Amino acid sequence: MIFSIYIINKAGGLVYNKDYSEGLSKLTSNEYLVLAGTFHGVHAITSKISPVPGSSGIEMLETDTFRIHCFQTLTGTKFLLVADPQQPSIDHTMRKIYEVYSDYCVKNPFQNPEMPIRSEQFDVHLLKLVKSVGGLVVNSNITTSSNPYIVSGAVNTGNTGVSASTASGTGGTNSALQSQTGGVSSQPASQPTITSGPSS
Amino acid sequence: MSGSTSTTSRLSVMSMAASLPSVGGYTSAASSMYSKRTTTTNILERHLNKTRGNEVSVNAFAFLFSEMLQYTQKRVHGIQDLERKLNELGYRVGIRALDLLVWRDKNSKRETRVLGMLYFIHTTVWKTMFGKQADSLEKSTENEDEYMISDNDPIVSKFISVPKDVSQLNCGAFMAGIVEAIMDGCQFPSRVTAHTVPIDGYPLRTTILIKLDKDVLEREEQLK
Repeated sequence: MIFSIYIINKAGGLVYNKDYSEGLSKLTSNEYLVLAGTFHGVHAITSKISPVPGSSGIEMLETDTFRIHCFQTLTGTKFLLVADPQQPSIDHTMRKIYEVYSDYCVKNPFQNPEMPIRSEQFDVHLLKLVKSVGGLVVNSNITTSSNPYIVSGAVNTGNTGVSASTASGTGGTNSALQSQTGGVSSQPASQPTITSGPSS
Repeated sequence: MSGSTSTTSRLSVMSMAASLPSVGGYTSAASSMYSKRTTTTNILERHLNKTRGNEVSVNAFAFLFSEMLQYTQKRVHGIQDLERKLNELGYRVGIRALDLLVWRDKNSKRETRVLGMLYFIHTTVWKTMFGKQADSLEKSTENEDEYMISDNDPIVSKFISVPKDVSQLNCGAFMAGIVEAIMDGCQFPSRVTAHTVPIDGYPLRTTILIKLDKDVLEREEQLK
């Protein structure tokens, strides 16, 4: 499942962000910008502090409930993909996102480079892509269930109880996610582990 | 998403191709300094009638068209002006394309009737320029002198999203210019405009409206 997609320009500004799952806790627009800027900085630092010369920056940030995948283009634009840890073929999805971006943003004469992306066709085709890789959750029940996107603080146990019951009600695909969030509540601090790029 | 978006789909040779050196042309020029000339021939020396493998990449065209739009946008005041300018640019392409088409057509004849002419545009011109036929050719029910050619998914605006503040703009004005030049060149002077007419499943559908001059209609009457 894909939760969100962010696009960061080469100066560290957030030019695009979209959520593809319901029930994600929202940040304020300012916090999104801070998140993008911080990630941009951390990305730069990780490539600098690497003991092996010529290392890429951070490529994946992993927690119990989600992973943030980062793909940097040759021009310095970064695509961030927030996804479920079980989400398969991230590389392929990333490539496809890049393809959609270069088709409907770069070739669009009304889209200025490095500026916030306002391109209708880009939205449409990105949504289609996310749907095709099983990203979009249509089930509205998930709004009441516990949020896999919460980074700070513990997940309320009572809340998890509720979500467990909804999971048994809806069954199917959600149950894996629910049980996982249950796991988080027992060990509240889900420590992010940072995986740096290939060291070769 | 359709797989056709990028590398695979191709645009048939436009007259632009005659002035644009292809990638193959570049490599042959560079390598000829070191070795004998390879099998790839210079674009200017190729036979005009051979169309196979001479297509231009849709992406290359998209970038060129995007730059054309940005260039034009800086030099105009208002959307009307922009569309007029795009129409002019299309006219320059169309007049050359007509030359090429007539030369390539083996059993070409001069079209004398309006319908034959429009059919030629609908099929031959569209196929040569955009690699497919236009999707419909209609006669206006309201006005005697108006005809419409529609394209469900026009290649020129394939990657373009027009922002809200210039929503009246249709980049098909370029196609309209091409059609106008071909009509003009065949002695059917007319005014050609492009309009966005979205239908279900085809949000980019563009209709080219051809308004014939009075004397064309008079001539048509005499030929009946």
